[in-house]
Amino acid sequence: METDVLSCEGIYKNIHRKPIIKGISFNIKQGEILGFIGPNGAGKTTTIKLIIGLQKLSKGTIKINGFNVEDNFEKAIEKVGTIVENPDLYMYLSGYDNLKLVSNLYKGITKSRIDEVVKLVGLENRIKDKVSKYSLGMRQRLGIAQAILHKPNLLILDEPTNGLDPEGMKQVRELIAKLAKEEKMAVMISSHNLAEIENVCNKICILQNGEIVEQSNLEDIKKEVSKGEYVVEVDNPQKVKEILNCEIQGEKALIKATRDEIPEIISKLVKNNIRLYSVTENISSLEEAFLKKTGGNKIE
Amino acid sequence: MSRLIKNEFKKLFSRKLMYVLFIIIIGAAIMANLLYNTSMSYIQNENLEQSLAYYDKELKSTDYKKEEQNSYYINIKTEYDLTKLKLEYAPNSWQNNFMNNSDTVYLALNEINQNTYGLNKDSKKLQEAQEKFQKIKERLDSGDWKSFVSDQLNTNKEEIAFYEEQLKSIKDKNTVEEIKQTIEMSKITQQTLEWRLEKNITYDNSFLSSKIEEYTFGAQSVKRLENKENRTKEEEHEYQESLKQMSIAKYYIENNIQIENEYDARYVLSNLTNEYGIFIVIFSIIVAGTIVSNEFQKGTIKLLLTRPYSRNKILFSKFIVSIICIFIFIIIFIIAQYFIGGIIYGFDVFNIPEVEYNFNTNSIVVIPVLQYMSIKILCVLPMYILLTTLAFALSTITMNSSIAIAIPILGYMVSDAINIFIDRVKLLKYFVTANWDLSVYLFGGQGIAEGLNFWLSIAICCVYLVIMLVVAFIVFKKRDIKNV
Repeated sequence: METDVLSCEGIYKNIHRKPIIKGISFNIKQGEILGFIGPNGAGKTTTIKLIIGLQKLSKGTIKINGFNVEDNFEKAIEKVGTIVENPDLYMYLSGYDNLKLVSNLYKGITKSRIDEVVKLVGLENRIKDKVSKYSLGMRQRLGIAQAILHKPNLLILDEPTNGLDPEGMKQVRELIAKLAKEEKMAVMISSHNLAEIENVCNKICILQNGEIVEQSNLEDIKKEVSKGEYVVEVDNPQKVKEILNCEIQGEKALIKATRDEIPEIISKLVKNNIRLYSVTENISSLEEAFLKKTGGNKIE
Repeated sequence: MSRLIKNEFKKLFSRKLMYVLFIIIIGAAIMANLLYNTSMSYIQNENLEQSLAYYDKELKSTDYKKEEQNSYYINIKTEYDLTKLKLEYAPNSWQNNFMNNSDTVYLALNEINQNTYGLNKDSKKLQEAQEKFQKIKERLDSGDWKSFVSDQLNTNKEEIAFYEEQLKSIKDKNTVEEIKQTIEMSKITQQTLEWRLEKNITYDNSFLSSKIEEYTFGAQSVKRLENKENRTKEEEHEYQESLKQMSIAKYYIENNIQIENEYDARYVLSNLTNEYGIFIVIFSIIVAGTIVSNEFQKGTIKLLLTRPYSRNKILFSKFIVSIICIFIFIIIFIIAQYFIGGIIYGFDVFNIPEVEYNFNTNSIVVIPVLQYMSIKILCVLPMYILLTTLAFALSTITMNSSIAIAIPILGYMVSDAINIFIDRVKLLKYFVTANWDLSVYLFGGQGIAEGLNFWLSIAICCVYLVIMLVVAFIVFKKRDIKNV
């Protein structure tokens, strides 16, 4: 039985009478990783702040584990771990003390749980150092450790890869995938860059100007963007055109075919003494699909 | 809640700021104790030498042979001789103090000078005068101060007898009053002289000697104002203060309580909030003024607000910690003063109790030092709590540490100045500054303005406290945490 860990229904938020969030609804079930995508200023961070009670809703309901965030905040937030904007850390304390402060706020977080989490995020060698000496990537990882210390079943991360180098991004992505799998959390990740998180998400929500413009499973989007085209890289594209009657793009040939036809086409080309370097499916990236949906990076 | 409070303390005491404050406390305690320890005696000596040089200059520019300059010359010459004689003895010795107090030596020297330089000089009288002075000098050198006191006492008694005799023959009402007044004053002097003999109090700078002077001033002032009808407000205040001064001095003299240095570690400890109050206030304000706004400025407030605690609980735990910090600072100052003062002056000084005068019962109250100190601290506690709460509320509302620290400190500085205007602006008596220091009500004292009393002041303080807290809690609860 899958229940909604987080459900948002028709939420609105006005700031200085200007509508920022215009009635969005979505939900996350256990084990799901939701990618919350949108250009800067679309309202991603505001939505997250509404969910975790940092800002008050203008209209709508948000329930976490069945508890209404507005009416029953303490219960609702109990099993939520978050990082909003930047990891919130006390720079003058050591990484360990930062975790200790969090552990003091919950019942039953043992010392071994802290050690376990430290190991999980890979900070065991530097955990006694002051946070002010940490690199951005280390702070991000400590922030995640802080967010998961109390074993939440909903993890909400706002732009967790922001400001990280490719290596750092990869580490964070791997960590999130690992957490979702090992700790069985529902995860919500916001990002303005789909490519960064498309590998870890299994559900996508695209937000623009405070409205959800697309909400679907990643598999569905992937099918949607598949065009049934294959690119063949050969030494003599002209000859391929003669054999298969296809289009030519520079040094490459474009073949319209289904997946099942590909092996036959390859053997045909080989028999015709064509030197074949590679065959790849020509799909538009999620990024392209995303841009198509949102109509560029415009902010109202 | 207790978990939140524990965390707030952990954060607070991890800040370097706190250790800086503790070092300042120790430094302040050492300074305060050493400051009172420095003796003033050398300054007196310097002054004497300056006077001597001045008289010398005057003498050189004056000619005693000229008739119109003669008496001035003699006066200056006598002062010159007297100052020279004072310099022979140690500063603050009984001889010096005696010469300041009584005109015996001055008159003897004056007689010599009259007969040396005077227009009617007489060699026989000169010899007599010199012999007389020689005897006085011998008594000064031998340390026989009691004989001087006896002399003074005899003169005093003669004076009183003389005036009482006069009273019988004089009918004029005003003159009678004047003479009666003079007799009263002489009787006060007589009392102090008898004490000197009885309690063995020399004319030195000792504590009891200074108490005798205080008694004299106080008693004279009391006598002057006692029978006056329709005393003005200022006179009434002076009367009360004099009565207190006189009674306390009398208590010390009659019980023969010797205190080596009145303004020693004991005095600083008893009046802890006078000496260290500004530090306690500023430190508490710094803590309360940053405890909320710092979390907003660093963004760490989000960490707190996304934990399973209501905003009220989070803010309240921070308020509790701010208030507890006042007590922590006070206790650290007490400990620092006790040990640093004790090491400098010896711990025995703390065993001497404090003496106060109660205006309600018109009697002396004797209180152990620690108890006296505690009462005084309790009296200013409303001020400390209100200033700290102001800093806390500003910190919560403005999210700006500088404003939250600067405004309460400013308020503390100008509070006395505000109280000056109470007489002109009647409504000001309901303002917090007129009510937050309860020590005015101690020992039967009156409030700053008419119509104020102890319980009213406490009620006014509570109203201010509640208003500040309610505003802070509402603002904090309603606030949207903005995107950074």
